[in-house]
Amino acid sequence: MDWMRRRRAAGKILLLAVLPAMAFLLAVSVGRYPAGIAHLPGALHTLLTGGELDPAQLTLVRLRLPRIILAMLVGGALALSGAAYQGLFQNPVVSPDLLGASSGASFGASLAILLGAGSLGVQAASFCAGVLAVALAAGMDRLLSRRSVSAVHLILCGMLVSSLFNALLSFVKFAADPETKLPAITFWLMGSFSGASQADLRVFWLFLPACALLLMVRWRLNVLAMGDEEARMLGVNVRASRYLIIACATLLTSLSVSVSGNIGWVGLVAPHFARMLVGADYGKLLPASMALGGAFLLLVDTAARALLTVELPLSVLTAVIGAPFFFLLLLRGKRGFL
Amino acid sequence: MLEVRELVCGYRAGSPVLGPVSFRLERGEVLCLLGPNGVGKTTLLKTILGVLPPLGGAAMLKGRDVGSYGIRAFAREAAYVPQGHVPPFPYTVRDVVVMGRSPHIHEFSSPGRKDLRAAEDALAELGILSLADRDYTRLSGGERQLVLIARALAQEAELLVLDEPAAHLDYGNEARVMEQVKGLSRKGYGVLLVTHGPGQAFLWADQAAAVGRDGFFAAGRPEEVLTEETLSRLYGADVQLAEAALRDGRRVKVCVCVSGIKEANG
Repeated sequence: MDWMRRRRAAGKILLLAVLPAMAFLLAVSVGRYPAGIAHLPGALHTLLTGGELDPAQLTLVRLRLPRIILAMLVGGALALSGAAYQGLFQNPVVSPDLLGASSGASFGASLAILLGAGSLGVQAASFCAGVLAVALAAGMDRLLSRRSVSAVHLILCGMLVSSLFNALLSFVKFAADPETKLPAITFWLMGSFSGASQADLRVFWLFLPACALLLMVRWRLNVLAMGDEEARMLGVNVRASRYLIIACATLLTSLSVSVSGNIGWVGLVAPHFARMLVGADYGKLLPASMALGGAFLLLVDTAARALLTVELPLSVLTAVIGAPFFFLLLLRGKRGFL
Repeated sequence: MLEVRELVCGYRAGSPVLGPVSFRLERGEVLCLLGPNGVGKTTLLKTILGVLPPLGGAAMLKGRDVGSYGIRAFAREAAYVPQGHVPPFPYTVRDVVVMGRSPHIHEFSSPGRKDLRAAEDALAELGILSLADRDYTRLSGGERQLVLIARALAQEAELLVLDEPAAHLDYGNEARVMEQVKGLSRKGYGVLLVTHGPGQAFLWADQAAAVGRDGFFAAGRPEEVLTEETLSRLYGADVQLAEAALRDGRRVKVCVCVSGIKEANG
């Protein structure tokens, strides 16, 4: 019994390592320009020694690698935030946009596009508006519930703020020039990594601490998932933990939207897939979600640029692939995994 | 170890729900708290557990006001056992019991070998180690209650507070859970539990405390506190007591609620 369990566990961990690696190999090799994994060692060597890159190496270093890294980062971050929120709010159908981060970030980006900002301006506006939206929801929650620590108020405030920013977004679209600005906003919102460049990798330094903090408190999410009062009786400062987790998840979600637009489904599907593989314990679930989310979004992005001659919007593909996949999970899943 | 002095409980100053109440609970004792629905038993528990500030009086744990403990420090002294519930995620029994280690594990850290060991010891102590890898959400009500008690043991707190541990349990499971609770008190734990069965108090408790409407409160040995008169008054019903002789020679009080209507001179 014991050795069988251990073998099965080892197999699952192997899958979690192999899946992102396979996705990486595929993504490096697929593309319009014939460059592949074979050029990677040479490119790295040239980079380190400071020589001249040939066209294949340039394609890899300037275009394909940044895009791959960004897709994995965003996928991992969205899955991580989604999984954390599901535990924090004791609800398996919650996704990272619960408190308005995505709505806020979408509004910020479209406003910046309307005002004619460059790509850095759009990213900054998007990130700030996402954080602002959640801060607004949290502030309203504080006013409502000075004494109780119930999460219901917070969720309601999140819904309020979301719908408010969605309305503002609609207004920006309404005001935008339908020949130039409106399509730009619409395409941006559908999500894409097509503009990814080396410069975009600077967001890594913001992703890193937020991911690290969430991973550090991962076991505590189990206790929080038992409910506020019980978590308190188990010695957890519920309010402080909740604000820390919300802050990290908000940072990650806003940052994701700001570099790639609005990408749904990853934050919901990846945690469930991970839960099926490694169980409910957040100690294993959070790293597993991150690995699966990164692999999933990378595969979707690779499909987005390779399937047709035009780039497909990511949110279209994540839903078209994610929805049937999720149904399959539900069909095949052990009873009670949801 | 637990001393409740003239404690008045409630959610808002000026509108107390219950009190003043006073009682003492020592190590090795089981105290049953009885009272009708809606009288404020849960409010009293919350105040004793430091979740609600008292409106008057004090609850002292090991000579210190419960409000003066930090959240973590208090969880190392007192463990709360809720009614068996179903969490939204399919945790294994081991996952659930290890959560009891929470006040001993640093905020940014995960359970280590020692904590996993403590969880297994707690399961073994209650004789349910074989459940360790089962899915907690698919256990029976009695098993779930025992797992939550094991979690409280893993917490290594000396005061156990149980909220209706026998609610929704079948006849046999009720006895099995209560037997374990009694066994724990013999090992030195102080046990405070809420129950709806006066019979349980007679069988298992060292002390009983009765909370009624209109501010009624009495605490002491079960036979002294739970008289026909008090029970009838408490539940607004006609409650009668009889004595039964068990085969081993013990005599126990049996409680029967004859009618839901209290007789005028009953």
